[in-house]
Amino acid sequence: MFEESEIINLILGLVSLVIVYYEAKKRVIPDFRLFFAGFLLIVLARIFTVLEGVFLGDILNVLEHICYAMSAFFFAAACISLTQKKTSEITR
Amino acid sequence: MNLIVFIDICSTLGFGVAFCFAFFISKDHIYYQTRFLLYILMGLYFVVGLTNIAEHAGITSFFDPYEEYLEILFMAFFLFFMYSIIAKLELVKQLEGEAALKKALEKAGAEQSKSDAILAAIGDGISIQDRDMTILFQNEIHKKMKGDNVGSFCYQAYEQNSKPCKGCPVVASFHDGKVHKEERSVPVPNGTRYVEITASPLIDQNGEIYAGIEVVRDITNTKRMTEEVLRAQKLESIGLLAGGIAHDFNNILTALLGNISLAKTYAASDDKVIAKLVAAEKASLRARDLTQQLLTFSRGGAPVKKVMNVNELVRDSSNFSLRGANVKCNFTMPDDLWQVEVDPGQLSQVVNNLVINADQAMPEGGIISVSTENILLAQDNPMLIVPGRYVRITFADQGHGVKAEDLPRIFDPFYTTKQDGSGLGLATAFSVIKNHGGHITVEPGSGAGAKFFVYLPATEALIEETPAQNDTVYKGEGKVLIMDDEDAVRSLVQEMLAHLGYSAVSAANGEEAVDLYQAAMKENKPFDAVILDLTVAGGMGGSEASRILLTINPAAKILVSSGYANDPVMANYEKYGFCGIVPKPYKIHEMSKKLREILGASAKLQ
Repeated sequence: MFEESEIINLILGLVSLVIVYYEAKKRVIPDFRLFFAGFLLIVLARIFTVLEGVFLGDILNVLEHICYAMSAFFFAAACISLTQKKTSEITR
Repeated sequence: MNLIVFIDICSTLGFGVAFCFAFFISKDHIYYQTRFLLYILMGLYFVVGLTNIAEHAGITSFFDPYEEYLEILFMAFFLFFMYSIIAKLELVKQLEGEAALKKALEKAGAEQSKSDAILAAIGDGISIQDRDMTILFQNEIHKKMKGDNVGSFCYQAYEQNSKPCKGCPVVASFHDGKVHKEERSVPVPNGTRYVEITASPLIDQNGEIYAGIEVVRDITNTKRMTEEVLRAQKLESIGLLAGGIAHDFNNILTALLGNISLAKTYAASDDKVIAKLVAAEKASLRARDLTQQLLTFSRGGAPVKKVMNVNELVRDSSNFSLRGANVKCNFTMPDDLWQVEVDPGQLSQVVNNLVINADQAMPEGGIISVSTENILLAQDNPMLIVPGRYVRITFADQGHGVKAEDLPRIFDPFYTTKQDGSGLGLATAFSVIKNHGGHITVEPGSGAGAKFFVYLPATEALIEETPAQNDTVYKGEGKVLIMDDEDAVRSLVQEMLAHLGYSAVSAANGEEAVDLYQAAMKENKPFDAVILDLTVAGGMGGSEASRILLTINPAAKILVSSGYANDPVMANYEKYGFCGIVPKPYKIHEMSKKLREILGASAKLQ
């Protein structure tokens, strides 16, 4: 069933997601979309982690790991994208 | 290898790649600490990925309990990471804002210095007051006028009032939002200055009046010039009238004075008759002086000038005017006084008028200080006359001075404060001095005696020697043609000439004179001399007649006679072909002398 640490982890993840979403909504943070997408996928993976203990354990487990993988993809893409920025664009 | 392990390997590689690329992100884009947070974030999930691989590949489950802590750390570090980016973003925004503000301030500063330069360049005083009448700004000219009073209430600082002044144009512009103008006189140590105040409201973006701007222009000089022009115009019109009257009056006086002088010669042995004639002659001469004054005052002509040192003339005229008075003159006159080019008669009249005025201002007696001095006037002299070298003659009395209300009209013709005054004295003085290119001013000295200053332009020309005057009557011989439109004058001159031994023929106008002259030439009995009246009503005058006569006989000896003693023709008679002038009214000895001058030795002493 539910593991206490996973629930706490999920709650922290959702709270963090709300904070991040709220801050990102308040202002335009350049090149943050990819990081946000990666973070969102990690929180989603947490949800799957909690839910896999209740139903569809194998599928949700696979989905959890896929979410991590996709998250890694987005983070990598975000970092690569930042390295491609020219100084003039960055300081704008 | 199962699916989960494959996915974990992919995700671990992904985080590894992200970790590596994080090293190459430019430091300009994110802080070092942000990048450091990114290393931790990517490193954490790289480790999580490795633990998952180890777990799902069945290598070890040792790290499994720590995975939850790593994920919690990831959440926390991700928040730090995000706020670090936001901080950088805010800083950039702040820096951009500061740069924009600096640029705006620089622009505003440039605008301000431009406005300051414009305000300083404007020759008017400018002051800005808010709705409470607190002075917000004064330009340099305004500060010079009223002192630096920024921050004070204008009514307190400028007018020493406890509340806004009645009729203040700035207050009026606050009320109706329109431009208001006002003229004010401002007492200053040396007299009064006049200013024009223009007030207009300053309106903000909401259409509200938040302040008023006051432009103060010193119009003293303009006002003085306007007054001068008005005075000159008044003088000109009155002068024309006076000149006309004086001319006619001179004709009458010519007959009167001439007949008296003739009568004197006829009644040479009767003392009583002669005494009466002398009295009548004196009265006529006084009338001539008055007429002369009218003519001088009028703009009828230029003064007959000669170069001289005015010390003697001023001294003699002053003393002459004070004969029998209980007032004395104190003279201060330097020997090295510059020469001036003046009409001695006219200047003498100016001196007489000023000294008589001073005498009348001191009925109990006193001293008139008369001084002459050389003075250099600069471009910005208060009289606004041409700068240069001037001789200044000062007349200072010890009377009660001139009242402020009399000051503006003191030089106006027919304006007098005396019961028996004609109002022509100072007007004549003003006119004479103006005609000499000079200026006359008065320092009212209320209660402490008035001071009149006469400025005459100095000259480098040399003094001409003049022959001495005498009353000798010269008899002569010859044929003289006289032309005058006045019957009385014609018959008088004919009689005078007959008495002097000449044979005289008269004509009433220029045309008749020309005809007579031509006829005499044809008969081979030409006239020895011709005396022409300058102005003939409704007929040919002396100038035109002279021109024709000179074409008939270039050697004709022609005298010009006129009541307009100051007429340009009289002043420059040689230029018009005349040999001499006989100003009306004249006495028999003057006529005899002139004829002797042009006819030479044929005349003999009586």
